[in-house]
Amino acid sequence: MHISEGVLAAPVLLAGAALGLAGTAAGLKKLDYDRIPQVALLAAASFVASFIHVPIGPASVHLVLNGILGVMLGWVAFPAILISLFLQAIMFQFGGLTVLGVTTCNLALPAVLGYYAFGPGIRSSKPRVSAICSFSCGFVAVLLSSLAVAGCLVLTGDSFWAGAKMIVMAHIPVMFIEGFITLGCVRFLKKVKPEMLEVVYGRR
Amino acid sequence: MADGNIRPFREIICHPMGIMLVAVALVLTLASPGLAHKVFVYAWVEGDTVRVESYFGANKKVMNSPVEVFDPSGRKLLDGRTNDQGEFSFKIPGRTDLRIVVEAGMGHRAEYTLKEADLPAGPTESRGTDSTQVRQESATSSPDKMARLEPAPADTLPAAASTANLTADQVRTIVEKALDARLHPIIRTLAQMNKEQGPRLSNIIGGIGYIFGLMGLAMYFRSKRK
Repeated sequence: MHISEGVLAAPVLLAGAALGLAGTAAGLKKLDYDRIPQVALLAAASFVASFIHVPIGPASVHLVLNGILGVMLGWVAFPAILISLFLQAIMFQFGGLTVLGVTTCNLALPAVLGYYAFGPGIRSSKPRVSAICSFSCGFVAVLLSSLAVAGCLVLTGDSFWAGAKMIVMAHIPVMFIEGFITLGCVRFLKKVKPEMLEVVYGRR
Repeated sequence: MADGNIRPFREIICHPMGIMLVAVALVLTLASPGLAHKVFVYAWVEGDTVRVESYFGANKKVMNSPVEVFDPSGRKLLDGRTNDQGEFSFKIPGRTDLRIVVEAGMGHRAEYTLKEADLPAGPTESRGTDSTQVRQESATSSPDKMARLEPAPADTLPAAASTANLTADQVRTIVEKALDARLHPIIRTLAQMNKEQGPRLSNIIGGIGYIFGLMGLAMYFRSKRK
């Protein structure tokens, strides 16, 4: 999911930076500061996910976990993902600082969409509805993220069409894995700590 | 009473740090550090050849991907593709900084600049040649091949045994060739050692530490404001 520095065109980078900034501001505004530990926990999970390599398929892909971040953080997924990507960029040169905004949007926007589309279903008391919604949330978040990365490449130049298709194909196994991970996490949290599934927004 | 036994266990499991430990355990078992998605490219000089190696991690090479070499002004000097060992090599096209760019597909790209100072000081025969002639697909520079490139081939040496006849240039090429052959394993080892490695587990755990440090910072300022 990390696009290397020097690949994307300047307008794409600028648009990504602006959107990322707006999303982060929205997330920080909504955040209930008493629940910062939960945000940090999920930011750490997203940071670590990039090192869990999925050895299926031809390309080098890894977990993303943005579906579960979306369910548990809503808009706060933006600052959480931004921090984890920032640390990856400065510590391991994954992606890079100029691409930070674009990658944040690529991962966090699907998370927020997943929150709105599947959040109510996930918190539903019917086990079957909740299971289907949590699987879909993990699956769709990765699908949308890979489409977004592909879109960024295509916007930069037609020569990236093959690479763009490749990205979506390579992430199909990840979509299924993340669907099951989200399903497992939601089930576990519903049993032992259901309040963690409530989004970390402050009351106002 | 049974409840009393279960609750502490539950609290440990549900505690953020408990989940964190599970995550770290997951990383320890699943992640092989270095098998990430960053592309590395490394280049070194062997004789009159620049050898380029490109890889995702310790075991995953960037195969059959386009390589382009530019000079500092951005002019393309030559191009080619990596072989299935992730390697590509080309004759030094001239004494200038060489910017080597590898496109590994899917938005992955890496570059490495070989400084002019790292190139051999001797006259490079290929200087000024057309870039298309220099283009060379991942050749393996075996010693006999290198010998062919030298102006004074090895088999003429016994004939010229009367050392008085040797010009300074000939002596230089002979010495350079002998040195190249001797130093080859050392250069190779140094190149391997200089290669950038992927993330190490200690770095990953350090990153998690940073995130929780930030959390502490945020909570500290929050608590002061109250």
